[in-house]
Amino acid sequence: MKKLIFSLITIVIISGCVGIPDIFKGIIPGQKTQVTELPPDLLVIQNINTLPTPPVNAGDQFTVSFEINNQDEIRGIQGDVKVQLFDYGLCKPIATSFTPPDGWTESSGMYTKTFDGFDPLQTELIEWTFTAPNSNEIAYLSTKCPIRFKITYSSSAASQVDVDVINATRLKELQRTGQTPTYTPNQTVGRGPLKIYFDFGASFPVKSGGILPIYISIEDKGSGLISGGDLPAKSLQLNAAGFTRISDQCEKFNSDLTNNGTITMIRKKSIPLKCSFTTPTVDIEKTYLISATLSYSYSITQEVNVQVKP
Amino acid sequence: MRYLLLLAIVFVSLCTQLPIEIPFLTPSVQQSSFALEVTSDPDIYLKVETLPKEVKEGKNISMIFEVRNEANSDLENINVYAYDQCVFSGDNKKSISMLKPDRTERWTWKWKAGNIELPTDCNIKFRTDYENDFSLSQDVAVLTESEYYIKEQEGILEDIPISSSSSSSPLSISVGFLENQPFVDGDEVTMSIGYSYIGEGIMNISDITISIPSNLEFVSCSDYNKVDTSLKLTRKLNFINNKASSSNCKFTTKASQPMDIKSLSLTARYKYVLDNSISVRVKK
Repeated sequence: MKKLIFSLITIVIISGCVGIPDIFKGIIPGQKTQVTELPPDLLVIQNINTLPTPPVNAGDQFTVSFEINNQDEIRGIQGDVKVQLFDYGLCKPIATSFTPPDGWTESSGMYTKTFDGFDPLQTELIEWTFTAPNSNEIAYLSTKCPIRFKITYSSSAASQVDVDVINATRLKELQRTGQTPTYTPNQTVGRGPLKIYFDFGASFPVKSGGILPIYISIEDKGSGLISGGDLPAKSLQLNAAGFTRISDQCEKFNSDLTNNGTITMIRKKSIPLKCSFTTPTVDIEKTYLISATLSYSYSITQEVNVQVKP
Repeated sequence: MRYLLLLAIVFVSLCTQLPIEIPFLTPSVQQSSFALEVTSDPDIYLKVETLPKEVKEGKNISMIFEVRNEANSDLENINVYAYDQCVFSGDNKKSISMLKPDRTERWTWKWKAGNIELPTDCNIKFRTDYENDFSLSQDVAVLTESEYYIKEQEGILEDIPISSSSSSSPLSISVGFLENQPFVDGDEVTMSIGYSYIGEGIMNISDITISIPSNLEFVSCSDYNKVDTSLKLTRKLNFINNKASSSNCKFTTKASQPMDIKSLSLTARYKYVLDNSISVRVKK
């Protein structure tokens, strides 16, 4: 009876109130745009395994393996992807037994392997063999080897939003026919840990020849860290073809619409960067696509603690 | 014990977010094309088809248009203008000077999708406008005083055939008199002209001509000028919520025979503007 109740409670706790995130499409309430957000996962570390299963005996060999997987089905990672083993405690790596066997370099005890990009959905197996410290080295006491490693890659984030521009005549026509012109911009936030969001300081549809203030904010939704902590100048590129930048209302951007200073990330979020534009002159009504891309370097750190017994 | 198990399952089920959509398990309907049909206008039938319904950036798409005259008269100066091509480029204007009743005109525009950062649903907006004539006739019956009283005493005043007719169109112009027909010779009568249209388009009236029958003598008309035996509209009709303010014209009746029934006719030239849109998915 007790066993059954315990089992039931366990079932409820484990499988009960688990929210399944809507990773394919989500509408953020209260925002002025309808947001479709792709998942934050891009390059992931998966299937981490230690053989034999710890604890391992002092002086024995063991392997730590994992897979690096590019979860993007469409886009590859163009730049270098670095795998670095930087801490292993008292355990000793056997570099000649690493998988993949080639391309490992060692500097100050850090082992590095660089992949020349990652194709969409590409998976690479990494396997390291270690020798556990002998009983003397651990003074006949049980200990742990912290196997710490990270992957670093460079990629770019992208977001896109459609903006409806309407001329005054069309607006009047709609009002006369008793229709209320409404428009909700559709915002698509691309795959990857860094997300770019648009917000607007004008109601939609925007009037032709009017002013459209755009607020761009960046959020880190990944499990890793931005290399260097902040985003450097010229890493963010705004594209607003057809719109004219109002220079005195766009101080955070250069004339080529790149950010002119470092974007500081506080608690994985940036403050919104404002840039105002004059909307284009349109014949009747026209949809424009405004997009932004962000170049970044990102690292994900993982740790496996391997118990060593004397 | 069993009940407890059932209860636990119910609790577990309640905590799960529904519906859960698993895209790769949800069967998707793959359509090679997407069509939009506009049938709300009695004058015109419009069909727009995109082939394919999804396109990759940099690739071409066919926009197939079909316009049919559903009216009983010729449609003139038909223009189709895709004013919002979203990320596409290519021809976007087509003019047809005249289309006979029941005739269809088809054409295809080849458009190229521009570059995008991320997949997007493009809402392509297009405008169709054309010109057509609206006509109506309204009988006006004027009786001499003696004839009126004879018929009134016989109780057959209502048997006098007074007919009216109008053409089928999105525009509707109504002509009515504030006084009941038949009229008595020498009466002063007020004719009210109402303007409305159906649909979500935009109605523009460029010209209205009313031919005055010989049994009515013009007195005054707020929005019309008298030119010979006709009245011509002088103001621009502004439609708000598909209606424009009505016009009133005053006449005195004149019977040239005991029962003088003549027809008042009205013709209007209108331009109707329809806006529609069709969605096309552009993939990276």
